[in-house]
Amino acid sequence: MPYRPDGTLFPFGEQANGQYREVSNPLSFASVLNRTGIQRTLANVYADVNILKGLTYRASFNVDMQNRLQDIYSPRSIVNQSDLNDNSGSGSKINTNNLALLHESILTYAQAFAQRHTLKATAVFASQIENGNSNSINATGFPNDATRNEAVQLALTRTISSSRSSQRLDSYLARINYGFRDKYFLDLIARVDGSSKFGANHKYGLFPAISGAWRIIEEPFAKNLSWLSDLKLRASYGITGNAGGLNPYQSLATVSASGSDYNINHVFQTGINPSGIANPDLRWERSAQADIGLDISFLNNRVSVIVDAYQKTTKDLLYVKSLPLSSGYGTITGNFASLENKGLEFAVNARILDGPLKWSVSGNMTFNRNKVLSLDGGVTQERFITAYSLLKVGSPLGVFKTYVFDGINQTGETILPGYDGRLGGQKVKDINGDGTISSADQIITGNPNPKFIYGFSTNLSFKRFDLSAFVSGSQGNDIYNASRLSFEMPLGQRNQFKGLVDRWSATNPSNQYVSGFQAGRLPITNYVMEDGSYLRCKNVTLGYTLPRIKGIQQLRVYASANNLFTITKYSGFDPEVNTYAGSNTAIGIDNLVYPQARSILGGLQVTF
Amino acid sequence: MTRFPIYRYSLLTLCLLTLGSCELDETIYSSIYTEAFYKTAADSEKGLIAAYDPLGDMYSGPAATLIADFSDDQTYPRGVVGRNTLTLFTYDVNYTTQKSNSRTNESPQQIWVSGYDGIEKANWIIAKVPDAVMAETRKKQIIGEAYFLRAYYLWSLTKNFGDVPIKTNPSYSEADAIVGKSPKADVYKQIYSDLDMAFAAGLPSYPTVDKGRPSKEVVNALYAKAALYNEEWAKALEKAQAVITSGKYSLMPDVRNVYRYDQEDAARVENMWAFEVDPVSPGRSHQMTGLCGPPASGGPEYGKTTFGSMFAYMSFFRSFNPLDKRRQLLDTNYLDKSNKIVAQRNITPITTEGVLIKKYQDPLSTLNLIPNIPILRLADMYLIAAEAEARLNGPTAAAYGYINIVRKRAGLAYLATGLSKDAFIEAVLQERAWEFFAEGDRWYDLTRTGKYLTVIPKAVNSVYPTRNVQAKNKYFPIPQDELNANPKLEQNPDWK
Repeated sequence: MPYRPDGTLFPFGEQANGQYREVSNPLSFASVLNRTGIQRTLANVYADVNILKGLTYRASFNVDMQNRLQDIYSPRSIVNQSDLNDNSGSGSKINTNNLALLHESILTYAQAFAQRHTLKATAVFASQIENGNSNSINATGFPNDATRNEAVQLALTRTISSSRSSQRLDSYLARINYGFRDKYFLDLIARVDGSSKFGANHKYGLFPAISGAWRIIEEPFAKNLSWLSDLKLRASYGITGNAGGLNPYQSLATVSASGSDYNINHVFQTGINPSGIANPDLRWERSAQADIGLDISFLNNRVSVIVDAYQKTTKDLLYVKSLPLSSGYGTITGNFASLENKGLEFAVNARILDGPLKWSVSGNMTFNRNKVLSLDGGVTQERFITAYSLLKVGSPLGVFKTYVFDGINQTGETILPGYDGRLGGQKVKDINGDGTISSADQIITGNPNPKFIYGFSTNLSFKRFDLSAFVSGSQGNDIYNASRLSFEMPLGQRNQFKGLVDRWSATNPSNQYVSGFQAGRLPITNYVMEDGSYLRCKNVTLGYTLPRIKGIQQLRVYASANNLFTITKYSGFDPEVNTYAGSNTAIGIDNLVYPQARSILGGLQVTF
Repeated sequence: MTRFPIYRYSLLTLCLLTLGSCELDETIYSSIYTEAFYKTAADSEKGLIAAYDPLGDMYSGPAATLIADFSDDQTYPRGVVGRNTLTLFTYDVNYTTQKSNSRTNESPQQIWVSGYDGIEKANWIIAKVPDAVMAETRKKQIIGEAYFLRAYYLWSLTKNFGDVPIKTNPSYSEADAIVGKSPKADVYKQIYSDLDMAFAAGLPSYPTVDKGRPSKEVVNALYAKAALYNEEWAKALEKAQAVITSGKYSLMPDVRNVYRYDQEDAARVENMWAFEVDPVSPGRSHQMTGLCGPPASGGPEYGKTTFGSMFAYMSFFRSFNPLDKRRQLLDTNYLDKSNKIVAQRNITPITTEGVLIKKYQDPLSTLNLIPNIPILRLADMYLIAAEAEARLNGPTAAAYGYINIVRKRAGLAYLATGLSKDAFIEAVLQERAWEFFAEGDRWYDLTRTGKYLTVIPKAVNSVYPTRNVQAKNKYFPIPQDELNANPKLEQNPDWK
């Protein structure tokens, strides 16, 4: 029963009087406030100027201002009567405002000479500034829920903080496109990027690229092949730079109030200490990529095929590296790893029917293989990024290294020491056979990188009707379904998967589900590793364009379904998942992430 | 698109101006350049608080007492969240079980992490504060406190890990951060040298000294204990005597009051240096109250929220003379919320012989805690003096004098006279066991004397019927995370 006899909500755990608490009242969560209001202003202006014939200049300015206010309140009413204390009732107000300014100046010169030569030269200067400000108040011990977090001055204790940061990125680019007889093409690019986030002597990086194309179809010998409508060979080599999601100020030696404190004379005092070890060598991550590609079209461009092969070596990979614990610091950000990616990409487009019934399809498929080439300047061969994902020299990014699940410890069995195993709990394999479970018994049990990914789309139109569909998928990737570590761990604090009905007991010696008395966590094993392959229908749209009405160019009604269905063996909510969405190393992890929604929409499109 | 020439040129000028101002130097707003810090009295005090902070991290689990107390023959944990890996000696070099239970703060790894965190922060004080502009007296004291803290952290490391890296300079660069290890003898040399510096820094004595900071006598007390562990008996004796004869401290008449939540400030006369917690928020805290009280917050006398996760062995309870007041800091039953006695067999579901520990009771606090955790007590100085005197000169009258002060306070008769040297030392070690249980002390008496190999296998009960201690358990393994990142460091030989 979620309600007391007087109609108020039961607080967490009040139903319980035994040794373990019962499930939190889920209705209580609805009374927790967590609301974010965002005010955002986007503006851009630009001007085009024709300076001379063929020489144009464009200047653009973009402004993005964003104010966020986050309101959080966790009421006293959800706390068990006997657990109420001076900290009960807690709330926050978090203000952030961000300002991003972008300016671009583009100078373009385009000219054709003597019918044979085309030349386009472009010079770009771009500058981007991002400023961030935030301040927050956290307060605990509200006497009454009535004000929620709107009167933090009523709370017993308040902690406040503020911060401000700024960063800037400047880019200079020069580019020349040259074409000869519409047959031979050459592109040269040189760009210099400068980011404030790098070390004093490493702010700027030079990133040149060259690419060429040969439209074989223009050659005399190819012109006779009437079934061939286009044939183009492309090749490129270039170096690109990446500043990644680097936070500012990593190259500087600074001190800050980063959470150090102690009680002296019964008074809580905060300390100031070095924020970390500065890395003045922090610099651009550089990738050298070679690409060779072929574009072929047949049958009057009704069918076209694009094939690309690439090889990319990334040096100075920006990476957060663990320092020796004996340094007194945890990590340092720098350019500590190198990586190789290589792969093949195929794309096919076809216009199958071109009459009153139009039908076109397209598909693509990518095979990518990556490999860590070096780590931490050779100091280590492997390093955990999460409790189960690993960077290892010679292996793909983010492979999973875990114990190997070996059923449930049954009555009378010897339980090996070293992993907190117990009767009715998970058993793990003693890989090295030394009679004890240790980190040496963890092996690579999965790879989150797919063997290939693919997409397929189709467009059908007949008279005023149009129908389109898009599916995409991934094959051969593993997902570490860490959510199951929570949902199959009987702790009595949250709802569990129904499989636990069949949990182990002395009379029901299951080899899958642990007993109800594990009161701890499941060991990190491949038990929750799953094949994450899927095929997902991302979108289906059916539209009808109404006959033309005066004053309206086009009027179309449509119905559309996003994320319509998914074919997968994956047991979690969503195979297209990553808890660490921002990370390029911790991949394929499902740890209580909100799944993508299925949405079905109807719409009206009006063009004037 | 514009056709106005003036506008055109002004636009161009604007863009050129933008071009010209390509300033990529970073401006910091919410932090301070290290070079610009450690300049004033306030800077120095704030920097010093940061050097105390890791003490709080060591004692929050508190790893500083639990890793010793779960390993010894006096107290044991309920076997959850990896605590029993200490009791069963099944931890590995990665402390995998405790880590996967998010209990690094109860594992030896926390000592390693916080020890070096503290050393680094103390190193900055020692390197930078000499140039600060401030009153010389306090400046000397601040640097002295940093030397003391560095010695304490280094001692915490060496008593748990043996040979460890010595870091005496701040890590200005990544290269500075990678240091190999030094033999234990050199580590102790560094500890002594730091304590000499601290002693000469003009630190105040009790009761003038701030609560939480070391007094001048506390510096000697740590010196005495470090020397005891390093088996330098003359030094240990000299320093312990210096503390005793300073007259600044005295034993609490009733030993139980050393631990009473309402006697905390009065008990500072004996409890020389402790981990400071207070019922304030935000503030520092620890788990001892919750671990030691009965399950499901059953005993109001123990605390508002208690779990029944740490108990004393019944054999240890039985080892006390019933007259010993210190036995009253243990209990074999408790009063529940309705004032009914809960019998021993019902204290905990894990055994019918549960013995509750009453050194960290806090019946009042609803946020954070009152009871400090003692680190150095005057009683320790008497027992160090007794042992060191006996090891140097045999069981002299002076040695008897020291141990009998502690026995008398506990309500016991004087120790039988005429003991052999070995029997006397054995009696001192036993006295230490009774005096310091659940304070993170006994395990080191067992390891420094080698007795752990014979004592531990016998310290068993129905919860832990076999305890397979090995020679390598004298020291904990250096955490694998350290070895992964530090090419100059090798694992302790026994743990390779």
